[in-house]
Amino acid sequence: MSLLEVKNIDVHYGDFLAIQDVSLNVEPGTIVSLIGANGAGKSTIMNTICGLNKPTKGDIIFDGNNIAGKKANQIARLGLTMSPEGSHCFEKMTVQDNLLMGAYLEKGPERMKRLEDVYRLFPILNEKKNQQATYLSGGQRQMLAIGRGIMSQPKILLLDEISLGLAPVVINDIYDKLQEIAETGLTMLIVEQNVTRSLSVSDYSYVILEGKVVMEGKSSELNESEVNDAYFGIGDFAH
Amino acid sequence: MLQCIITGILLGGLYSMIGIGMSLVFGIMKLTNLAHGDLMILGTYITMVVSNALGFNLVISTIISVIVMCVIGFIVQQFLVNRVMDKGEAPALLVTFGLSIFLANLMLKIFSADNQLLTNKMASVNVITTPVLSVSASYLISFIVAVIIIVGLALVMQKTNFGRSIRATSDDPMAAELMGVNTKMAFAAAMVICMGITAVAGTLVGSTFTFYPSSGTQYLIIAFGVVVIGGMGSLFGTLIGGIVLGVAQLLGGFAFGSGVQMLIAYIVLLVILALRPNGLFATSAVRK
Repeated sequence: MSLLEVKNIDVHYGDFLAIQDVSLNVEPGTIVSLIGANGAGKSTIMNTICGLNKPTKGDIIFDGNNIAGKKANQIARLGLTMSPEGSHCFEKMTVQDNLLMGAYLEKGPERMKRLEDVYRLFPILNEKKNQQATYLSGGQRQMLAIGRGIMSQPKILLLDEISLGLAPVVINDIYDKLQEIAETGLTMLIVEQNVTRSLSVSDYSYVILEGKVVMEGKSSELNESEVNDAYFGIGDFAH
Repeated sequence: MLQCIITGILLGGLYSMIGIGMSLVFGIMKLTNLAHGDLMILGTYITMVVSNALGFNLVISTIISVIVMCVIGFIVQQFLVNRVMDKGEAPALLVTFGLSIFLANLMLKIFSADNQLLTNKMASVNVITTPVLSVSASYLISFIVAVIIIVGLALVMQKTNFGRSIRATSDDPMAAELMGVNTKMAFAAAMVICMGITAVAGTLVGSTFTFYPSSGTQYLIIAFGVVVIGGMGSLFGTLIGGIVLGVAQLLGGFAFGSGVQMLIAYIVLLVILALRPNGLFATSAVRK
């Protein structure tokens, strides 16, 4: 059974139909990626799943609950954690306080154990734990955002554009860590603009074009040049 | 001279008590609460009513006033301010302005325009009486209470999960929401705490100075001064701001006569604003 099932959702911004009849499935223990150009609607889909946007039609079933239209904090309580585009660290708080906020819903001593796990995964965060997040580099901020996400020990982690604006060497570093996280069995739904990277890191991919799913399939079986056509809306995908 | 400085510092403690609630509300939700002074005076009247009508002593009356003001704070936040917070800072500011006018007139209707003073034994007692220096008990108590509340509040904000969630909400409400924080409730909780503290400030003010229904505006201006000098949202800045204002006022009165003491205090305020426009301890989130 799917952990997350998005069923035929529409999302409007005012009168503008941003997302049209999108359906997605995320099986437990897999990484699913959304591929698409700027403005295709990937972030809108992510924001709708985590409750920052409300769908105007359709259902979102997460772990047996229909979460469509619920508030973001209620959805987070069910075990769905999202790291939004642009990392959104708590700028004026220390690195450690940022991470502890990730485990906001976990009141017990368990938090300290998770903190150690995150520091083991990202030793740089341990070095900078008493610094304010605003002084971190772009890559470190992204690590902090991911670390904050796994501090909540979610059933599914949504990562929106974690490589945005980062140097290639830093991106490689972060994706290596993501593989490590994936090996623990954490389910993830990620958004990535780079087609090659997206296909290599994920088990299943959806290509989004102009607010619709235009192609989907196992990442290992998708043809990269066809995905590129779908990505840009050319060839068979031109209208 | 020494007398002026000591009394000024102690008076500063009272002023910072008046300012804390306003500073926190601004620091956490970027809301300039124009009804702050009136809410405080409302707290003073509640203390007065409870102690007069039910015959409780001032401490118990204050506790009841704190509870009532916390409830009022929750209602104000949840049913008035939270409704317009998403629409920007100006609508929320106007809501508090309207609330200010409403409260001042409501109190005028209920309590009449007569001067009042919370009668207490402390007002006329001096803890230190020497030819060069005398320290009034009520000033000293105000100062001690202010320090305790500021230190306590700073500890709660820094060390507890609750304080962290308030800081996170003030920093990035969207991200806080994604971490599972009910941000509207966090704002309401912040307002409740601020109103509780403001009720204590109200009792301290009411037992030190006479008050009447329209006193709120006068204390709003003092709160503004304290918060602007200390830096919006900084707790210890609020204490320093209160002391600077208190000392400036009394030294100004000492040098130029008591008629112009508030003028001197606000000239100091303007000078500090000109030199450090963000206040001495500027921060927009709550920090030590």
